[in-house]
Amino acid sequence: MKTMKLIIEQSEEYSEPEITVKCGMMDERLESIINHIRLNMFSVAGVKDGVTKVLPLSEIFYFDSTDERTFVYLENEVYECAMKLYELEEQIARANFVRISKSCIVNIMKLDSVRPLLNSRYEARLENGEKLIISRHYLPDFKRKFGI
Amino acid sequence: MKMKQKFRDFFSVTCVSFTIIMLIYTALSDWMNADLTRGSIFSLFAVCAIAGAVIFVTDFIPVGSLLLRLGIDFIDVALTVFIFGGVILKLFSFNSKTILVVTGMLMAAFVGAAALSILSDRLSSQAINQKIAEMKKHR
Repeated sequence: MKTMKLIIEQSEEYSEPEITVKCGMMDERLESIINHIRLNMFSVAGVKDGVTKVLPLSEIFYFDSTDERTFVYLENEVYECAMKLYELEEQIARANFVRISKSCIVNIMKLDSVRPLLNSRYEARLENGEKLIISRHYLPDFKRKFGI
Repeated sequence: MKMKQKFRDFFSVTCVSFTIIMLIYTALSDWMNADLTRGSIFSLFAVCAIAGAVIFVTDFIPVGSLLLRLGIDFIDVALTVFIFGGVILKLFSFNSKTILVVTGMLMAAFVGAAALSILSDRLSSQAINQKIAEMKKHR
């Protein structure tokens, strides 16, 4: 395993934090670190009981769209989000999220396991025990996310 | 489903169904009075390829129900075998005995292709679960 330098420059000159990754070849470990950074860089505003809360991507299990409304599912809570599913997909596709059906985008970091169903569909089991269906149409994208 | 994946499925279905049909055809050729010639082998391959192509095309019809999907695929195969193989290529005659045998053959090929698809899905899910386990280890 190659060694990795971590340089942190802290100064009042900097108005906002900036992360620069310098590398020769991208390996699995580095890719995992970058994905974690991406997960923490972007957040979604979710509304529950009239209260708006900023939800970091790393806490989100999946997004689901029902009747033109988008819902954000955390481990035990559900928030409503103003963004459309396709808008979210564009923003978070590079951060371990993948579309698994017409109405759902899942965080692959929250997956526990998958199992095949009939007709080339899969069932995804999340860390909180919830089960989602990966439709046959989105299966190639899902597999690609895992390099398969 | 993406086009590349669909083409891969088409080739898999064609190859598996051809292998099964060939094995059954060879085993039953004496009993059915069917000659196994170079021409008949190519004709059987053509039937399998066309059946695969018809499934490939009808797969674009969005169907939610699994049973309906399997039904459409089976009708695709049956129509190809009886129209293309029976009427056009005259691979078999239309009497009760051959119709029964051909139906059995196409059902075997259909089940074989479905089994391959299930096996492929199982292998993919194992590979994905392995990746998930690795990701959790890296966290």
